[in-house]
Amino acid sequence: MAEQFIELNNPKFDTVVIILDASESAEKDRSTIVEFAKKIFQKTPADVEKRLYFLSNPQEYDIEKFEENIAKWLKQNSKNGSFITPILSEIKNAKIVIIGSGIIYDLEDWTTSEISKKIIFVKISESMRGDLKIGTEIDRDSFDGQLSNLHNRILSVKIGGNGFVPYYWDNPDYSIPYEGDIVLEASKSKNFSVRIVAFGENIKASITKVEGTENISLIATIKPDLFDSIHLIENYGKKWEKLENDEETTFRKHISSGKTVCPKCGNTISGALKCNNNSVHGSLLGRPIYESLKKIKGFIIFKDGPDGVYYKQYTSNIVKIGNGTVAINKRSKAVISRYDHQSKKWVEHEDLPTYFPLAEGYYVSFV
Amino acid sequence: MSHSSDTTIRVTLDEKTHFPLVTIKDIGTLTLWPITKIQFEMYISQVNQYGDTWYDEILKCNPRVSYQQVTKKNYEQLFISGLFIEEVHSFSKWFGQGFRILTVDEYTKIYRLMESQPSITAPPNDMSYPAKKIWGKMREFSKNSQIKFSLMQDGLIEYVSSRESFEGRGAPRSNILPNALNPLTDPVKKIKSEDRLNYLGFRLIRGIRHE
Repeated sequence: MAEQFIELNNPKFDTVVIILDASESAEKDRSTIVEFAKKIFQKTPADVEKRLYFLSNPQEYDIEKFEENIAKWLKQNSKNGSFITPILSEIKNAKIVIIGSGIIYDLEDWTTSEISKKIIFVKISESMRGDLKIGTEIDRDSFDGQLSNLHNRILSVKIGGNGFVPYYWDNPDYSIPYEGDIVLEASKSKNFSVRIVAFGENIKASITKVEGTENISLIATIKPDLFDSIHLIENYGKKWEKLENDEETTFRKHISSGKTVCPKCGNTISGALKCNNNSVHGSLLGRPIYESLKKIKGFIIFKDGPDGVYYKQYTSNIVKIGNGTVAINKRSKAVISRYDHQSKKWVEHEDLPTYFPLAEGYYVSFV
Repeated sequence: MSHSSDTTIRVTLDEKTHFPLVTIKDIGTLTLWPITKIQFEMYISQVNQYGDTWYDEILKCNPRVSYQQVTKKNYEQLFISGLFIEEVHSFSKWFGQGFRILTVDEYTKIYRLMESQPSITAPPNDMSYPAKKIWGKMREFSKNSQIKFSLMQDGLIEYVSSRESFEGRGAPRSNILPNALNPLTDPVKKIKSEDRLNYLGFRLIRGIRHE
């Protein structure tokens, strides 16, 4: 199975075009129009491009100068009528928010256009679209609730492909579900960018936005360094931490003999990283034999070196443990999965042993 | 960009709105059709002089129809009408240097010429999108009649200048003006300066002396 390095770079938000109605039909609603415009400027994420226009006028206005100039701009545009063509003729692809009141005369000319589907009319008092079925109309009372949807934000991203098994990704907002097909998914992230090292082919990202889903093929590159587990562990992710001296002893004894003794109760422990002498420790889940790892869940990498034993959490839920072989976090345990060339599928096998050797001195464990 | 359908008539585009103009040898260059609402709206949106209240009054007398939805029954609504003569003059200045309403003499000559012309078949390539759509619709509605295609027949009454004054000429359909008029002999004389007449539109010409 091929290995790939894939990047999803800053999936783009649509530009938000804000069009204010300064016409006579909206004159009585000007203060609300200005207030709503400010809310959009403030609440739309900084990485979303915002452009400001006034109805009937194709000239773009500088949002940075809004506060000090808005009164003048409204006056400049008050007798230009209510027309959308001068602006829509200039815009290729954007989310368009029109805040105003009263009929836009030439709207019917745009009913068959693609861009008309991306218009949101924020109706302050009278409808701007009348009976036309074009875009979406929201009224002033529902404006605040709809504010986060105005820029067609990304709701979720799912990444998958043929034989897709990612074994490293750098954005902790992404995870794989414990059940079902392996996909890498994220929602409610402020930044959906991610770099992934994975087995698999034909890898795609499905980006679901408030309106519509975009499917993009991700360009994969071959980076042999990253396909080496030890290189990946050494150079990426969290920093190494050192085990306490008594934990070092426990670790080395456990590795060499397959057994160790619980430092608290003296109970003999063989195939686990915890003592299950629940009557003594008072916990149904057992007591970790390494105090240092108490707060960690998931995969741990150990490195036994001349100056001590180090550990680091492996933040992804899948670890590459060999060619075409991975360990997958199944919430309560980790299982080994191997790629079967005949069926062209990943097949789950035995549970991951307590310490699985990755290379000389390197082990992966699951807690 | 120009297009020839006949040695006498050449089709070009105006610089402001990219709608078709016809150049007629020894007469001048005029708008192929009466000025449309689309063209007038471009003007309104650029000059900050008119506004919604004014345009509502205009549309009350002749409602707007979109070029996307226009039919043979209502195509007159594509064209602006009901303007006062001063408003027509203001538009003319904006439209381009030297443009004005036709004189009676020019109107008569052009009308006769259009009656005898074969229809112009192909529009200029770089015409605006609305103009292309209107071209297609008017071609369909007028069949092969050039005078109907140009709206000199079955169009509106149009402002023309007559000495120091102005009058109306045209041969609209009966749904626009019930009493049939001969555009060559029957002018509409009683045009009150305070009335917005739904049948009264205009086209513009740049006469040969200007060129």
